[in-house]
Amino acid sequence: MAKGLYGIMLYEFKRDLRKKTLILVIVFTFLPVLVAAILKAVGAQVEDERLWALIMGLDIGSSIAGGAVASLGLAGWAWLVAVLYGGDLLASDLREGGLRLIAIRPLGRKGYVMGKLIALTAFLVIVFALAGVAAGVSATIVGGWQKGVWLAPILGALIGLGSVPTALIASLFGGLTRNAVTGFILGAAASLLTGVVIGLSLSIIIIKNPLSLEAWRKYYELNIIVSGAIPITAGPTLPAILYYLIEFDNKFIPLPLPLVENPEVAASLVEVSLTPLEVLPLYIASTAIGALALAYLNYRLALKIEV
Amino acid sequence: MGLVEVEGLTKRYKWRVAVEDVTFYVEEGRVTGLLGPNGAGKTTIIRCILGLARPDRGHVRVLGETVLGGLPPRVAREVGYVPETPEAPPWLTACELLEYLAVMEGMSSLDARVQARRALALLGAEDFCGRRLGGLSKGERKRVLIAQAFLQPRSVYLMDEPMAGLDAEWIAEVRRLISEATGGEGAAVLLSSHLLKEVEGLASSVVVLKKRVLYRGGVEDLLSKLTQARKVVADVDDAKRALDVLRAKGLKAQLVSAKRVEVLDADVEDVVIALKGIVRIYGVSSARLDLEEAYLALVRGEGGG
Ligand SMILES: Nc1ncnc2c1ncn2[C@@H]1O[C@H](COP(=O)(O)OP(=O)(O)OP(=O)(O)O)[C@@H](O)[C@H]1O
Ligand SMILES: [Mg+2]
Repeated sequence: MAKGLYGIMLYEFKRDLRKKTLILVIVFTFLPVLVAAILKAVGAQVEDERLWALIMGLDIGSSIAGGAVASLGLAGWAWLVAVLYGGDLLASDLREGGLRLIAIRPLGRKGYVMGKLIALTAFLVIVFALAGVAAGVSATIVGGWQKGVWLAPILGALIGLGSVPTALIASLFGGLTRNAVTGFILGAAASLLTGVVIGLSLSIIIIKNPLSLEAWRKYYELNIIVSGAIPITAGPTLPAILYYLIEFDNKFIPLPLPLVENPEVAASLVEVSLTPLEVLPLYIASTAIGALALAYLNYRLALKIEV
Repeated sequence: MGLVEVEGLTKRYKWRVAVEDVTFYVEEGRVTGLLGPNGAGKTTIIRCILGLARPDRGHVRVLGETVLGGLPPRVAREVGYVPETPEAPPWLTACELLEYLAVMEGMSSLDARVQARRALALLGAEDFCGRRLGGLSKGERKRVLIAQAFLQPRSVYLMDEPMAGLDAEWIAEVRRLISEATGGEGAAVLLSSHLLKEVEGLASSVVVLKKRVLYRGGVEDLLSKLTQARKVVADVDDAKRALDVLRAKGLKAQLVSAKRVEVLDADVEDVVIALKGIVRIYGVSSARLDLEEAYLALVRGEGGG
């Protein structure tokens, strides 16, 4: 049993390694490093001690330059990497005839899906952990001593783990349509739209008066909770929650108000009364339950599909 | 009874019936030919035997175990499968594919390496070992896929047009491999083809298929049945006209040239009576069908259609 599963995992690992998406991960890791180095070279003020977390996209920064680096951060790209790996997880084996060769082996379709899912999860965890190491090392080179940089590989691994639900949604779409490209597109749409829809609908419901600080606080708090309850938004945010818990004394960084009409309000930041520790269990639970539920759906699909 | 038993198999795609009520057995120590024209249902049947597709009715047993949505693990190791189309993950090398499949069958990594190379060598594909499958020609990839079926000795081989796309040298070699598997090792081989000559001399029994089973039995019986088939050849001044007349009378006529028609399963007299006074007849004679012609007549004439 174990040996057969190992064979399927080898197969999936090889596929993951041969995919060009790997180059993209490398680009996403070093792009913010490059931007940070350039910004520093032109004299901009960057949060040097927290540079590793900006590069990884865990911290949103408190300076403009820091914000710019953070906006390119690795965590913000995890969905794309997940979608590119997930979209053809099943679709490629349907199209390329891999599944018909594997499904007739003793482990059958069950072993096939289990091996593939375990291998993809392990692969995403390892790749993002390595990206975390790279971010830590390059941040030290660019910004000097780094506070809490030991967390980088661990939170990197968590970025990988947190992107599994997104990968599995893409895989489901790819498998259902037998087409990797629709897997990519629908997976990307699902992961991007979910965040947008949550933000929009909450703002419509809650922000009656855009000048009310209280309304914005409530909006952010509900956004944190609702995003935590939905696996494809919870997973990618999970590492940042842990980062604020450990590195910011269990406080969320004050969030900027996206408001320009009243210069007084626009300049201010709003602090949420929720703490990272309070919402962490929600984020962990929904990521885990979401990943397992989606894994199960992928499994059902792979059992059923004719090749 | 047989190593593979197909009973009452019916398979629909959406509402179209692909195969209907097909029953046959594949016995050990012999090659069973699965013959039929394009779209007859050969691939569908093989996929149902492997559990890659699900029958709508009937059932399949392999080595005595019922196949439901997949080969039971105990028998899976005993089954070698050559798919019809030469698709394979293009990002793997030939050796990687075979090694991974061997590990999936429970071999150790070391055994897998050895067996992968041995199997490739059987098909003269050892040179492809380190080459990506995406970079091989169709025929080369087909050989790798055949090699994959021979990763270890099997009791059952299901080969879906294994010779299609191969050159003469490798067709001969595959034929040799198949006879060895049935001869020495006593395996049961199901060999599908749309060409009679491909299974001739190899298969001892055949199933001729066109949605339903048209013929099932010994290959000798089929051959003697086929070689007895005769045709009437008529040379006339207007073959088109003759064709219309003969068909109108329900005869199986076909056009050969502007001045010649052939009629299957008919007597010379019938043809002469039918054509007399309508076209000018230069000559009518009776001739034997060659094997391939007779086979074509069988699969064209009868059956599901
Ligand atoms: N996936 C599918 N969806 C719909 N119809 C299908 C599918 N696969 C096969 N068919 C139909 O089922 C029938 C049998 O097809 P099958 O592939 O089994 O024929 P075959 O005997 O293998 O033909 P060939 O000699 O061309 O390989 C055909 O009419 C075909 O169009
Ligand atoms: Mg076929």
